[in-house]
Amino acid sequence: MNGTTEMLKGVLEGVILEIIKRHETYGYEITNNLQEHGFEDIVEGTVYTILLRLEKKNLVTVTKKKSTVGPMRKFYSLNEAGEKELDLFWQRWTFISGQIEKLKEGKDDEK
Amino acid sequence: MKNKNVINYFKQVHADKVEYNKQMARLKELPSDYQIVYKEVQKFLWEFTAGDGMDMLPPMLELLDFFEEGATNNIPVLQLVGEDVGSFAENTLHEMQAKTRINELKRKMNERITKKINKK
Repeated sequence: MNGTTEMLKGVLEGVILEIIKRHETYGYEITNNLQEHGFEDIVEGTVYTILLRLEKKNLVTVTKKKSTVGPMRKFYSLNEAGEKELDLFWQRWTFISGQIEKLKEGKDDEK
Repeated sequence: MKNKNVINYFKQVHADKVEYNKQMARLKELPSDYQIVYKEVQKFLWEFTAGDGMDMLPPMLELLDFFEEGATNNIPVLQLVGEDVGSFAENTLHEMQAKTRINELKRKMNERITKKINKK
């Protein structure tokens, strides 16, 4: 779906952590994965900056490996801190999506 | 002793410069569109450098790695970073570990406020 990028921004970090959790992966593959999930607007540059952040926050383990063609490629896997952060992310997500759903249904008026 | 430190300092500066030029030679191997975008992003990042900017170099070289991979996969550069290169540069700056003027401004501002409010 188009035009989701702005809305997705705040949760992209968690989404990418989830993708990395499933198996060790690299930027290009993560971007393709997101596009296949319908987030057509996502470019590799966006994923790249999030990966910089995850690395800076020490949530991922980075391994440089030779790719079949061209330069070394950075592979990411989740470390223990990353697993914890991902758990927190899903908790927050459940809270936010629950509250927003209530708002949408107008259920927040019933106190 | 002090003299030796000065000499070591210049030796280090020279070594850094050689290394920098060596890395920047990689840029010339990239497609011209890639070079245009890289230079613009670099220019943007330098605008916000605080201090001597040496801490800006590792992320810039990392950006070069990223561009090399994109070029190898034959992705047009604007498809790689997105049409809005300014936003890409801003995001990159935000996620880098380098000292930036904007972070220094924010840090000093918060310090001043804490100091002034605690004084009351």
